[in-house]
Amino acid sequence: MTDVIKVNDYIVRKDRFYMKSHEWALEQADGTWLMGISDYAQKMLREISYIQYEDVDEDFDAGEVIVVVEALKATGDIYAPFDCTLIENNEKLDDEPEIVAQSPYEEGYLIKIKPRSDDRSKLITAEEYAKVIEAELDEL
Amino acid sequence: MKNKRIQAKWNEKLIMDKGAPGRRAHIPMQLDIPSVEVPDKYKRISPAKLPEVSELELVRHVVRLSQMNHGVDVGEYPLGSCTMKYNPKVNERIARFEQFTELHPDTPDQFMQGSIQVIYELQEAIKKITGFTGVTVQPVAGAQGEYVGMLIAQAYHNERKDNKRTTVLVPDSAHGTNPASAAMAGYKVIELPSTSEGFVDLEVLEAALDDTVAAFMITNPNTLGLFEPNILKISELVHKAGALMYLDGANFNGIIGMVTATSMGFDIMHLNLHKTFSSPHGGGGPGSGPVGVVDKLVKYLPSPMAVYDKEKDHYSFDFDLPHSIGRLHGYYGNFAVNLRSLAYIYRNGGEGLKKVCEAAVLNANYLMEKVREIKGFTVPKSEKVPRKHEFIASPYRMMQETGISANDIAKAMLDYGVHSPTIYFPLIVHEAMMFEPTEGETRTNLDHMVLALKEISDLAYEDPDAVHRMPLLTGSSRLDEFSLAKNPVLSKKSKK
Amino acid sequence: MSFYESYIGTSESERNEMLTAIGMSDILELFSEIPEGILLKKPIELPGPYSEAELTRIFAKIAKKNIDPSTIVSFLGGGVRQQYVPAVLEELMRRGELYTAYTPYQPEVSQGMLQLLFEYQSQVAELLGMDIVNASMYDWGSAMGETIKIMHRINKKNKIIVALPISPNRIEVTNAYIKYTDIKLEFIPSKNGNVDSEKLIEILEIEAAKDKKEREIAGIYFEYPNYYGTLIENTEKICELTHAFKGLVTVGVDPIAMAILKTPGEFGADFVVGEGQLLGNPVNSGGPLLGILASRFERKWIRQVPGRLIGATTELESSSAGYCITLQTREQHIRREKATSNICSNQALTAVVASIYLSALGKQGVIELAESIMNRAHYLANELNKIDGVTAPKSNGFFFSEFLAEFNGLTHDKLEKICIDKGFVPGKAIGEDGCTRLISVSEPQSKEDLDNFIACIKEVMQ
Repeated sequence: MTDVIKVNDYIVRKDRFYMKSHEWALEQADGTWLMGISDYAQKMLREISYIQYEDVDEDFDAGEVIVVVEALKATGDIYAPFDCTLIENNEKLDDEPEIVAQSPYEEGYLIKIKPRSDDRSKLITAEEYAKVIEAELDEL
Repeated sequence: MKNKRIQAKWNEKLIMDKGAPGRRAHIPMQLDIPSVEVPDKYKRISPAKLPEVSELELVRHVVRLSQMNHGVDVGEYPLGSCTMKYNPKVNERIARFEQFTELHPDTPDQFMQGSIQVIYELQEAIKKITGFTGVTVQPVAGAQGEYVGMLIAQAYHNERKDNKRTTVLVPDSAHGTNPASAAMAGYKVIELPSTSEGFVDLEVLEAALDDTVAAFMITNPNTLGLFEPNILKISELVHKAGALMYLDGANFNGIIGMVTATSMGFDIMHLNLHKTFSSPHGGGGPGSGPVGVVDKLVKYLPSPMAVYDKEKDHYSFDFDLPHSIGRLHGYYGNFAVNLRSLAYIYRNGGEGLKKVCEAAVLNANYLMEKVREIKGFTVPKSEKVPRKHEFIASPYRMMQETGISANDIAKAMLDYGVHSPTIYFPLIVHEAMMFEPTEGETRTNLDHMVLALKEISDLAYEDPDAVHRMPLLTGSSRLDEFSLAKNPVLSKKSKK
Repeated sequence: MSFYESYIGTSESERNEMLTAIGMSDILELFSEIPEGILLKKPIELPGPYSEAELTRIFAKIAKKNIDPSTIVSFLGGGVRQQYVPAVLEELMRRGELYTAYTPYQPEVSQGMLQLLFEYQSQVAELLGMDIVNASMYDWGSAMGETIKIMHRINKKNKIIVALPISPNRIEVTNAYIKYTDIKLEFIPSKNGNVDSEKLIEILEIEAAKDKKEREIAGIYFEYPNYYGTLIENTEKICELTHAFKGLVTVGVDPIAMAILKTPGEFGADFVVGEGQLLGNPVNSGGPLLGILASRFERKWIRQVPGRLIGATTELESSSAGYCITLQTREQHIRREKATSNICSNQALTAVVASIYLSALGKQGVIELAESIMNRAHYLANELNKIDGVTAPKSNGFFFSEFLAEFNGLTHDKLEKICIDKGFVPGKAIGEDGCTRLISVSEPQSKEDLDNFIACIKEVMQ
């Protein structure tokens, strides 16, 4: 079992980095990174119905929208965590966007990216991210 | 059951799935003149598969479908911020006058004096109602009016070489069209948090105002139905920073005849004639979104403007407007909508418009006091302050105690023949339900709405699952919206 | 007089009771937060209030200042034209359940409007040979502006090639829509009253030959029939060439012409826009109109389409068909400043008119209508062309319902004055010099109307 932090019913996996805007990013052995949305994010969006992908091979700057997650009555913009190139879209989600809800941290990853800079300042740890969720829940 | 109302359910097939080959409804007139052949290279390959129905088949189809549709003519329609008021029938009659309906907009001036007069008189009437010195009635919807307003703001600042002004401020309670319109006009949008009482936060505003702000767009009364008590101070701050004050007139029914836009300090505003001025919403449109501006902005208004030469008693269009932002519509806007609203204004007169406002505000506050007493509901923010034409009730408590949400209540109301209020808006109230009864509803109707909400509340606390299953007496029950969003079927063709 | 009481639900005495019920004694207490200094002390000075009878008389009098439509035959077109509105359509449009409804956000009680709009989308898609149609834009011009923005968003390139002739008003509207974007329109002048398709092909070939990174064109726009009524050559080739560099093709159309002409869908276009007033909506002094916006089905593109889309689904608890607004996350009420467009209110009711009109005409009727309009135009052009000093059509290429006619030796003023005295509006002036007019025919015109106009022109030209 992967180590997790639980905030209410929301699971935060400890094996990866997060962003304040609810994305996760996980470095692979080959230096590329997988990206997806957190369990909390997919539950807040509810009923994810479509993923709007950008073209593979395009370059993105840190903070640019790199993919959009579309739910029935809401959308979530997913931001590039650092300057990067989009190298893969998880096309399985085209027909089965439900996978994001079923497995946000594994099968339901959204994209694979390759870094173009060393700046990782937009990434936060699982512990820091858990605090972000707590703060948001407090406001509700 | 005795308070519920049943809507027709006809299981009506698509018109394309009705009929049979060779059946005809409208048969166009043919003339005794030579026939022309379309050259082969331009010929349509396969004919359009349009319906083949008889005229009676078509009549029943549309009449049955209309019976599966809720309108103001059918029942209560307290949809907040939409002002679903009665659409007077005399306006429909006037809008059917052939001299208006059969007139091509490029007809030479001297033969369309009547139509230009209507446009001109509406410009003049709106000037008086709002206090502005220039009014265009060309924008065909509120959102287009907003866009015109933003283009005018751009033109104004650009001409003054005040090029640093790249942002537009909106409160977090703003209608979605406000940020969308500002963004379309090239502005960056900054949302300002409201105070806990739902008003513009003066400190936040002051901190946000600098020489990069082009305009502050607000709705007053705001989307909570509250009149901004600090409106004069707000205008002063915005003007001091060199920015323009924009009024979203969607909620004008709450103040019409009581106060003008200019006296509150606004520089630009749009109105929605399909809201305050009684033209029908038509199932989504057509609307009309006139824009009024103060003196210094008049020269930027869209082209053309209707003008009147009193000496010659002649109406015409002025196209010679070198500073104008240009044209947003192929002709002169939604003429037939504008015509209805002019008739409405004249029918009421200044005295009537004031009465309209009073009665609308009274209805809203009466309904609010009754809803407040229903178990599970609260009226959040500025609890003791009277509302204008609309108010927000929140069943947040009911949601926590029974699991019944604003959406569930909205759906259950449909079984009482009452359209739901606007729900989940504004975003700053949990489980927001925005009620706007309008002046048209009788006290009996208001009491019926209260009764419906009471019964729904009782049921929620007794048997919440029963509420989840509602509506049951409507043209359809709850629909599978998710499968549709996943695999959009947007025409009969894509259905196969 | 208190004629306005007709529209207020409560009586004066009820209002007093209600006021008491909420603990107030004066109606002004409800307006207590309005600063004293700006509260209006007396009613705004406006005409009225009027009784219904007086009001009707006032507006009947204003209406009479327009020309009586039964005394004049108008050859004005250029995007909108007079319609014969079938009685069945006019009567059905009086259903208050439909015209007094709001946007169908509560589908359970709005199946009527939703199904009619779905039928509009389906029938217009069929007519244009496209897959999907949105639930309406404001008019042709706004549909054109928005579609140019769609092509820009999909391709992320700045240049759009626009082939003239196009109505100057429509170009002006488009310019207003793209003013604060980085889109650049590059116009190709018309040639002999038609689109210069050779020039267009040349530009497209150059673009296709460019290296991928050098390409600048997001898409092209042309009209079919165009503003001068003629049909562009080589549409298939133009679409193919544009697609060769992943460019997109938008075509502006007269929807009635599509009943008999090769459709943009058939020749390979990606988007179609046009004026839906021509589908049974009265010309109404210029509005309301109906902007048609159609697209091929590409999941990615649909997210870029502005405005409402109605979809077909089923009830959650049964297999009964039902209709609702879908893909709302593109729209301003959810996406706010990131929405595809700010459009909220649209022209739904004019789309319902179009839907019922197309159903009434049906498969055969729409062809007969298109042919009868085309026949009128060709008959009129032929006969006018026989008159000394008149050239009609003054353009190259096949035309549908409109054509340019040149009246040698006349001025616009003179032609207009004489014709109008005899009960005709001789089309629209094109250009200020000389006397070239855009002549358009319409369904209400009889053979007698056409012959009388021909006789009138004969007299004028003598």
